[in-house]
Amino acid sequence: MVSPLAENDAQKAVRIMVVEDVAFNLEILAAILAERGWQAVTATSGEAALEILAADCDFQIILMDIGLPGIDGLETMRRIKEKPVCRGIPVIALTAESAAERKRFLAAGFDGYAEKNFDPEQLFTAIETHLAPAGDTRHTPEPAVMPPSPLLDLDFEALLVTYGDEMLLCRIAKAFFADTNTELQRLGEAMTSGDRTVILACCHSLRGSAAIFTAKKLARVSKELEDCIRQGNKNGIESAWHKVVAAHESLREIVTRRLSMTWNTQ
Amino acid sequence: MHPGYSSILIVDNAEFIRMIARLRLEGAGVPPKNIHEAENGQVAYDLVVAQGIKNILCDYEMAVMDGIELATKLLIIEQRQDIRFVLFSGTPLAKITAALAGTGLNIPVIPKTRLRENWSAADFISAWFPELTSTLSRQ
Repeated sequence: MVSPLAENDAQKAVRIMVVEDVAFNLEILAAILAERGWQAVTATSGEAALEILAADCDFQIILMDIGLPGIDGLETMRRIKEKPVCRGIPVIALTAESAAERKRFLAAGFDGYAEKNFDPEQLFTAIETHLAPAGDTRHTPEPAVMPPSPLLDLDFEALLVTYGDEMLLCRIAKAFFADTNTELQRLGEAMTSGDRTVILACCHSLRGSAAIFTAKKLARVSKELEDCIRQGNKNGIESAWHKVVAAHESLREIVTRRLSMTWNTQ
Repeated sequence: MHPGYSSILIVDNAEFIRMIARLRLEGAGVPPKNIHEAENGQVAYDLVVAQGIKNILCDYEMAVMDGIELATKLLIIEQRQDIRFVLFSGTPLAKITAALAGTGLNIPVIPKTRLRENWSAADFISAWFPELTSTLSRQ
């Protein structure tokens, strides 16, 4: 789901400084930010970042690697916060450190942190927390909270918004069921033969397709079956398998009913 | 610029995923004839060799030649540095990062769930396949 911020033209003017010494990482981060239409200004050291800020403080966010050569990310952040014209800019630590270390960063003055795993969603969440126009902008980013699941196992309206019209959605839905039918059949055969590798591959594939199709229940029970297999939970496997089959069938009924006008005409 | 840069190859074993990726790319202005599809890494490799395609959006997990195997074959073994290779996957990024470690591959990885989002495909292309954007602008 796109953030309301991403739809705002004003957001196109968002400038983010990225301080990171590894060129490849810089390239990835800049590309991720560009996907939201955000402009990245990059610096490969703390010194370079401070030099840029001495001439230009027009940044909405600063993403700061910790392990920089020369003055490290922590010290760079401190020096930024010492400058009255810069101290209002939220500085987010990019870190792969433990929870204890993250707390230390926050205590030292960072405004938040983001996992240094280049997961765009996590990065966007961390940034958008601080770009939010209302409320306190100086608090720790909180994990994204998923909205409550709808009664139906499908976010149909979101799919329509994403794909535009029912004809297109119908084509996509048919391709989805063609793929997942094949996977379910393969999964059933693997369940009978006890082929663990194929079962796990099928569960993974089903879960991935279901997630993209916003079919939360099918994704969840596929994961449940996958977990039972991995844990050797023999009692849970059979039950989870039936849940997968039932969730798939229920989803098909929901989709064909909802798309009944177009389903039979294509 | 080499004509291969005006084409893109979507590699995924699920037709459903390939269809969604294709729709997004077409929506951004990539001509349908310039979008190729492959259901696994081996078919993808043959297409890259035959068609000279230089932009590849590839699934991570596939039964026949997975994404890392294909990337390794093209980028490491054959030294095809002219190819822009992006992995996309439903697998947790930490697991893929661990799998990439030690391979010598420096390729971006993006979550497959991004396909369902209402992002701008044009921005996506300019971010990950800039050469494709520049050829589009001349068409």
